[in-house]
Amino acid sequence: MILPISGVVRDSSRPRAVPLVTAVAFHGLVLLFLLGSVTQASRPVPSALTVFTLSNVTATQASVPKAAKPEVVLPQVEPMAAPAPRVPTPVIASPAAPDVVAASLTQADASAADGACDLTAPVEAALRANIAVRDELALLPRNERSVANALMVWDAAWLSPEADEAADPLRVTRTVVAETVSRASEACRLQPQAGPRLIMMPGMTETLVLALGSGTWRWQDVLETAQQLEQFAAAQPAKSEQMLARLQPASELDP
Amino acid sequence: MNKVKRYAIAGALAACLIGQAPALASSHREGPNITKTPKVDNTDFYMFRSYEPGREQTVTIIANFYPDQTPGNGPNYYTMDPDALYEIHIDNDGDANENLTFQFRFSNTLRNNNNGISLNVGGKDLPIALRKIGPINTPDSANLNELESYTVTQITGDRRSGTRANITNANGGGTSFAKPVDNMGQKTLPAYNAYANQFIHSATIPGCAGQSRVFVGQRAEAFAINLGETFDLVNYVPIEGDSAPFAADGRGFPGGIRQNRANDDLIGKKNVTSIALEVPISCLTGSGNGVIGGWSTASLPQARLLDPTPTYPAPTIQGGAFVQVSRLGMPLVNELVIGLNRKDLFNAAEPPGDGALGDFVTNPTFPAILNVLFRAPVNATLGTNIADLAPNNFPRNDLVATFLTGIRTLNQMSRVTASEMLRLNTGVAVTPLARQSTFGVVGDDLAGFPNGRRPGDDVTDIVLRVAMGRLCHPVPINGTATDLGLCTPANAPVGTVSFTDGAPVSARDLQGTFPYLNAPVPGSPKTAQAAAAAVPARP
Repeated sequence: MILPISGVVRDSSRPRAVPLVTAVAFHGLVLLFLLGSVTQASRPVPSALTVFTLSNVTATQASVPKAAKPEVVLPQVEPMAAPAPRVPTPVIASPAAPDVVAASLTQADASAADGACDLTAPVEAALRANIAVRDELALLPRNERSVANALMVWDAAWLSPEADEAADPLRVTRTVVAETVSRASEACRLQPQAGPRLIMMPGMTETLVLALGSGTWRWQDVLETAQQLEQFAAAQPAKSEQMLARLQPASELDP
Repeated sequence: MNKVKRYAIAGALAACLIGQAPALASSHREGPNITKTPKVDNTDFYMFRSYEPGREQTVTIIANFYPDQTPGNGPNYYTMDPDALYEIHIDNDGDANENLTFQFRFSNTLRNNNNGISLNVGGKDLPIALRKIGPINTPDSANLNELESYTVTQITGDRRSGTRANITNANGGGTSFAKPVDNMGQKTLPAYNAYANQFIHSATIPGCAGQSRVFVGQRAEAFAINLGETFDLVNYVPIEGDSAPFAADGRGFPGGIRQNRANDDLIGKKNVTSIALEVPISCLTGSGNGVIGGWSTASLPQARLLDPTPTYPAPTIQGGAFVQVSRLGMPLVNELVIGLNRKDLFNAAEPPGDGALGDFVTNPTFPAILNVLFRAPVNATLGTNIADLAPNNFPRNDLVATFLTGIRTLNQMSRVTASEMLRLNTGVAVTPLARQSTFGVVGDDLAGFPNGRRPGDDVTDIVLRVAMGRLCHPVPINGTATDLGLCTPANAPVGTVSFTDGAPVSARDLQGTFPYLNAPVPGSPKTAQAAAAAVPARP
């Protein structure tokens, strides 16, 4: 039951003798309570805090055996799978990126002056806009991806989900990444990045997450490792050309 | 009754309350004041892309309330508070203010115009004392004496001044949804699962294409925690005693705790009341980047007057604006992070005000306490000389990212406002139940905590490890060790140690369909309760 601010209490069926003065005083308190302090519910904003140093916590000896075992190894948090094989792979040229990529690059470059440049958005836009990239990623075996469908593709070097170098399953993806990065300003490319950048690639049934970077790195590093591998392109042109032929701007991909 | 008497009673009631602040709340009895009002105590909050097959394009949000429900605690069991607002909030543009709110309000009624089922005893018709008078097999069973129902309102914009629209029952179009009675026991409710499943309602949300589902009812606890020992100055060695969870080889940390359901104080033993809502992703993300922030709250009218002549529909008298008394986004924040003198304030605060509580995250006390408790024994056991077990990177940017801003490109919104809420990137693919890692992101599963929270994510262990610096060390992304760039391994000397409370949970312990949490532990018979408590944890 919700009462308005001026709500009164229902009758009691249990009569009691209460002094008049007390009754009047209590009535005043009711009014004060309901009309004064009980008005608009304020949204409390905590005041600034003082954090005290820990000085009075008593150390407690836990029930750990005193005799140290000689070959104790701290268990890891969770077992990690063997690192993905690093496969040097070629990088090939690609057509001009669509307008959405250009706009995104312009926005990223504009952030370079204040040290906030990040090429994740234009790279993501370029990858999403490219049907050949989508086709390439769709062919990746499910067991080469994490349980949440993630794949690390660049970690100071290009990584391949397959040990078979000839298969080169991410050739077009790498190309598009490198080409997009190359179009950014040098000031942007040279800015340090912290941690991985995750790129969401929506697919027909589920999104693939492409991860680039680890620790402190620069987008320029991506470009340089790509350029170092350019010579491999000439050695294996057939598949590259076939994939390049399918590169299309985003406007042609819309249904 | 004359006016004098009426005023006297009102005054007496007011006098009782004037010196008492509104009860404040959140998580399992974690704030001093919330212990007074368990019905509005928000215990857990989950938000994840639905992993029930065929429902992957939806997000499931579960807000649990009313902790410590002992099965069989009759005759009243655990009804929701009809005077309260129970709300789920969504921020999808990163300003820390809610863009959407789903508001639940409950209504409890007795049969026969709130007089209850009566029996004629010796020529007199008298209401029975119980909530039922016989077995209950159907939702509309005439044997049920007390009925609970609720409405759901979607509010776009500010929770109090935004645009309101009723969510309707797709089956009939009404605005009222029925809530199942609690699992009183197998004699009263011989087929509780089948009974409760009939209260999973298809719902229509105005302006939202696609079907939603809603369920409110009692569920079995899914929050895994070694409660008593943990709050007894961590009265165990909180490091995995096996070489890996469930390895059963005793080759982990000497004397370390090992995974066992018996270590848990809640799962298989206690129940809770869940508000579960399934909503299409497209109806939640708004104009943002696909990351949504969610949290749940409960609010009560600012004034509550005790009535010396309470009736069933009006045991107290309420007045004033609604005041938030419970709040929950990220798990364990108010338990382990916020200072005791600020816990009730945290429950009352809204995310835009969280900056003032930031010191508790940037300079956390809990790792320092663990250091004091365990540094000497750890060094003695290992023959090491670690000066401080706690991470030394201040401010703790790893915790700021985890709890206040989201991790960049994983679950950070395009606009970043430091505020405590559960952030979910709805673009990350669903991990099927069978493959979910109980450790979430640090277990190479980007679809898990802290990218949202699934019922099978062991947040106690994850938060414990993250607090001790797990994110200062590389985490696997598809098996590749990846430095998140938040801090360095040198900042966290024991950051890769498998801290644990020994109370496990995984998605395999829970049902894989909406509402995902298991049916409640029955109130009777005791053999069934014992069986529920004895179900072993699954890796």
